[in-house]
Amino acid sequence: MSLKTVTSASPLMEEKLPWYVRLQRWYRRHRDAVVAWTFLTPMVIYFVIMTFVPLAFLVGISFTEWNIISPPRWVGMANLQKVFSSFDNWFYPKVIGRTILYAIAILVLNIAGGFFIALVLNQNIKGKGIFRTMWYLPSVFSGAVVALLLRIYLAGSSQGVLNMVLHRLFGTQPVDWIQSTVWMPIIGVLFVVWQGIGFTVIFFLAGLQGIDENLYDAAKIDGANGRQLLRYITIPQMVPVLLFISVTGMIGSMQMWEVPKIITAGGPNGMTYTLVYSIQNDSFAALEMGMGTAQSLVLFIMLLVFIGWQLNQYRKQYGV
Amino acid sequence: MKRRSLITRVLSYAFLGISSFIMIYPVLFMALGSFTTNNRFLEATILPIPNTLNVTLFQRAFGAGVWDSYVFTLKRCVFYISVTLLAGLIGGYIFSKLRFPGKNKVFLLFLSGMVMPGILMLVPQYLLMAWFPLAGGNNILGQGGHGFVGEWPVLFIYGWVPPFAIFLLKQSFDMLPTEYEDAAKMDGAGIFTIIFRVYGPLLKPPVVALTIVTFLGVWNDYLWPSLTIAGHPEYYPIAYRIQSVVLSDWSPVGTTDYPSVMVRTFLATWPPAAVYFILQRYFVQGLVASGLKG
Repeated sequence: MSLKTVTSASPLMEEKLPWYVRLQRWYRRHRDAVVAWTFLTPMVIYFVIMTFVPLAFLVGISFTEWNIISPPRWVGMANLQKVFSSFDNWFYPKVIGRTILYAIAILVLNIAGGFFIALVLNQNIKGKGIFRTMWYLPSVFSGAVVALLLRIYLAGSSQGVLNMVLHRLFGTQPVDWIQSTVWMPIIGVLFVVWQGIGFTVIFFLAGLQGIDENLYDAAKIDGANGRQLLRYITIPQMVPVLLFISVTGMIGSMQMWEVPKIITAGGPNGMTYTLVYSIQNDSFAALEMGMGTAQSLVLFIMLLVFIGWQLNQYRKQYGV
Repeated sequence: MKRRSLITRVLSYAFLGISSFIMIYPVLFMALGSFTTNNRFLEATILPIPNTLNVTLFQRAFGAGVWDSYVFTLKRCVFYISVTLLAGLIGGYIFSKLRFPGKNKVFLLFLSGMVMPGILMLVPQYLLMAWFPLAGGNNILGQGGHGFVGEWPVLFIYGWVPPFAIFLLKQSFDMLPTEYEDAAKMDGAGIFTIIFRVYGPLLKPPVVALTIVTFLGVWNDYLWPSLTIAGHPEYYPIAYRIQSVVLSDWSPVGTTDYPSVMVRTFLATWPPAAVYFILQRYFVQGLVASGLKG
């Protein structure tokens, strides 16, 4: 604190001091800013180059037709129009609609299931840690590797692992799972939920444990039953966690790629052809970079709109 | 009342037991399958139970470049854990404890990196690598060569400013009172001493959590290597290696030697599981702290 009195000496006196003393005093006054910007300048430059330059590429290329090999050709909004047009029997609108349906199914199962498991685990139960560990375990693995494993399990012959086990247990006939338009979408949704639900459980559990016990006691004295406790105390108290989970979950579930990329190649009959797979396919297999980036842009904007809408809903309902 | 709670209790245990078993069933099947001989495997009902410890498959599986991938992936993990912690601690300290003009703007800029879905940036980030000036035969404008694509730096160049780490550690710094550093400052301690010696030991849970998250992220990384390093097996990270090895000698028709496939997936999945089991206490603490205050 004594430094402050020294540095606040009159400017006239400071003029006469040698430059290095003035520099030293200036540094003392602005120490925080000097230290901060010394480290932040390279970080900001790096961040802008590595994040915003690619983002500019993304936007720029989406207005062109380009196959990487020959120079790009400006086509304006044609790519974006194609994404929303009836081109190829409404191919792209179908991809977008399918992606949204998958995302909703995944998000609903993930949140409802995760909340239920967290409620069960939140009781006074022995071995809670072990159950929680088992529920989280699938989340620590590489999506690509477990999807590969799933592909092997789902092999259609009677020698396929799932067919073999089901036959031994229930005597069922072999099913060609990967080619089944009924089973494959269900399996795809369950796979994504299986990999992501542990994260939801952990967060809900932490949220439940953070609720003040006194709230329950007070409500019980007023004669509230179990369902009312859940409806009027637990759920409102969980809104911040719910918000966090639904936003991160939305970003995650819109990006389903392991199933089409590793297991089905978008099949059967296009049932698992999601937007992210379409982006990859158009960009690197069909070499239509313009279409790939235009779809990326659409997905990005869709995510922003969804998240904004979700935040708004919560704000209206719960005043978060 | 008491009887009802007993029933709920029994039901809860039964439900948790069965559901947890279903959750780990596919992984358990794979882990047991990788120690089983093929004949024994084909007799499996619910789970393959090894009768003798069959480790010959492991020896064979390690032959196909898996060991090289282990070493390379581990190098990548160490690099990214160091970078994440270094940038995270310095950034977290700056945004939490220092006051300077432009602070909120820069913080928001970094946070914007968290909402940008990484998967969408794959294509343009690939292009930036291919057009990187003066790399891989490129001229100053980034044309003429192949840039970093197909060379090892492409797997090390992104992610030096980790928004999530900075955000999480800023929250953690916020909870520590500034008095800690005042005494150290009196003694003339510099910024590194303050961050790593004074606050560092107090930040163990978030630091360990970030270490695990980064390890898992890098160990499991598949999409980016699959785009940028394909065709250069000497730089295959483990997830990509396993994928390419398995698909090259496995076909969905005909009889398959399942255990030899399971062994390979086991080799890619046991390290994340082990790290998670050992350090899970911190993992849960650290993760949860980030979400609930965010």
